[in-house]
Amino acid sequence: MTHTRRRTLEVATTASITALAGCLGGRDAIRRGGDDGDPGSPEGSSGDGTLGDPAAAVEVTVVTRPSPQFEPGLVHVEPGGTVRWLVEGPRHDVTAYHSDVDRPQRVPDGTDAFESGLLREGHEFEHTFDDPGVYDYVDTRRLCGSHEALGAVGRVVVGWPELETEPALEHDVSGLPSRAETVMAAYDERTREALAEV
Amino acid sequence: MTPINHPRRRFLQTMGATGVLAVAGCLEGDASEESNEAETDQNEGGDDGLPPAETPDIETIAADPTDVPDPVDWNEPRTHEWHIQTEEHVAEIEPGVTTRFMTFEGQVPGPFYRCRVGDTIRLTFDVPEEYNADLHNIDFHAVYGPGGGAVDTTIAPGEGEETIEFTTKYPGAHIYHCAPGNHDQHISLGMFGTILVEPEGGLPEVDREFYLGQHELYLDGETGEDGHHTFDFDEAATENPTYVLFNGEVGRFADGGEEGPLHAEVGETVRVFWCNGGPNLLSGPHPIGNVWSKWYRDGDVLSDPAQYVEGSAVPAGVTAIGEMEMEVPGPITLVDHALSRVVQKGLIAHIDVEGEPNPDVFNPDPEP
Repeated sequence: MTHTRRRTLEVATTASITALAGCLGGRDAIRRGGDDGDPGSPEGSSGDGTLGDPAAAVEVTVVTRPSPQFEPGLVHVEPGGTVRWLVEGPRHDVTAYHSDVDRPQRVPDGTDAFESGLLREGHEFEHTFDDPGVYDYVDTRRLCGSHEALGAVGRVVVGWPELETEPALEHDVSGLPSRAETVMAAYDERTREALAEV
Repeated sequence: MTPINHPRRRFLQTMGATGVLAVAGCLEGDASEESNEAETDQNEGGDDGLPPAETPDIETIAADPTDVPDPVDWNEPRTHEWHIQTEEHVAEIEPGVTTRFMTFEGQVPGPFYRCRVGDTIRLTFDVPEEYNADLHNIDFHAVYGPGGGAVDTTIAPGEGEETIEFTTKYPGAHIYHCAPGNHDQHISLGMFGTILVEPEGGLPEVDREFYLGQHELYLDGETGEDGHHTFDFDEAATENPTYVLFNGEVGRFADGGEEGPLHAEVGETVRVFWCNGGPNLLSGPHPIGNVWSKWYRDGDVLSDPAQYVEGSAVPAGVTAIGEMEMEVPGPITLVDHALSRVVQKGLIAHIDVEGEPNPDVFNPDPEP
């Protein structure tokens, strides 16, 4: 297993090419989130990336232990903001809940799918989110069950969208397997609370 | 397997040189505040040693090998209601050596479940916050379905129970185990067991049945090192176990062990369910001083069993079945014939066979 962090740039065929802008400049500006699960945020950013406090860039760790999950699972970025996923553990991925990749549509209609492909230990993946909205994603790797069923699902809230029209919150979580449903339902609750307060 | 304390007692560890950080999380609350990961990496941390052994919260983690349900005595499919909960417990591997086991129902291996082909099982599964720090689930090799049931039984501590229903479509002895992503950790620490699906005609009647669970522990200390050990993922990756055990304890059912040898009598036929949880190693079961007069390879109960085999290969994740004839009195030693595991890593059990000598079969002192 290599511990060298290799940049995994998403295939830019269907994905917005503007995503690259966020990949090129931000790396050194991003600091790691603390042990408490708070996402990192760049110097001088207005927010720390927790829900209700959007940042220009945040970092999410994809962990294997004690069980596969995203830490933190719910982050908030400004429009045009970037999320970088860092992988700890042998096999993970970051895949949008998007109908183009045969998943239930839980990202804003009209946006492109993002999909990291297999990520091994130490690898990373970035995506820049231009349009406000709620973007749900999943780790699709499988053994007996899928990482999805174990609860490895995440959400990126971009800007301050109107929740009523977001596919992620329109759709019933009961279509998701096992703990994906439980975890996503908790995200829904937190998202509604945080975005309703403003 | 009765816990000494209900609810779990908190254990404050003496702060050792390793600077254990766990104390804050131990003062109140429940098991979810405990961790199944090492506070420091012993391998990289030099010779600081292990934290002190913790006080066990259960008398023993070992299942009773004689605790096997009665054979199937019904001729039509029926429905069973099973409730299984996961429990993590600190227990002794041998005196002075502890780890935090993960179990089904507080024992290693998990309970022996028995039914008949065509039966329907309504399973309620729970991961109570009181006993668990990690999420768990259950994958039955006797089940057609996603993850053998694991997908729909995945529960984080305290999330509430899940119910699934399945019909046993094929007979045989099968493993069940936890499948949480870190399968090797959870199985190693005890989350495996056997479900026996009897064929329509049942299994041949025997006089006695035993159930043993073989598994490897991969820990951050050395074999026999006093203190509290924690699962070591690197040792697991290289398949270099600290212990290879029956039922989570060194020689519990052997001479000198906490429980002592199992018992049988001359003239009996004895059946052993050899459940190899693994998570990794191939086992070579052999009864020293006897032979497997019938051997149901891989737990296959439809094919004719092999006869008079000295040993066989039981892969991790398989329960095989062996039968022995008790021809003479004396000890039978159950071993994996990869004998370093017996001599150095803890795997051993005895069956003391009592009864009249049978000098026609074995005479230790023949006439000159």
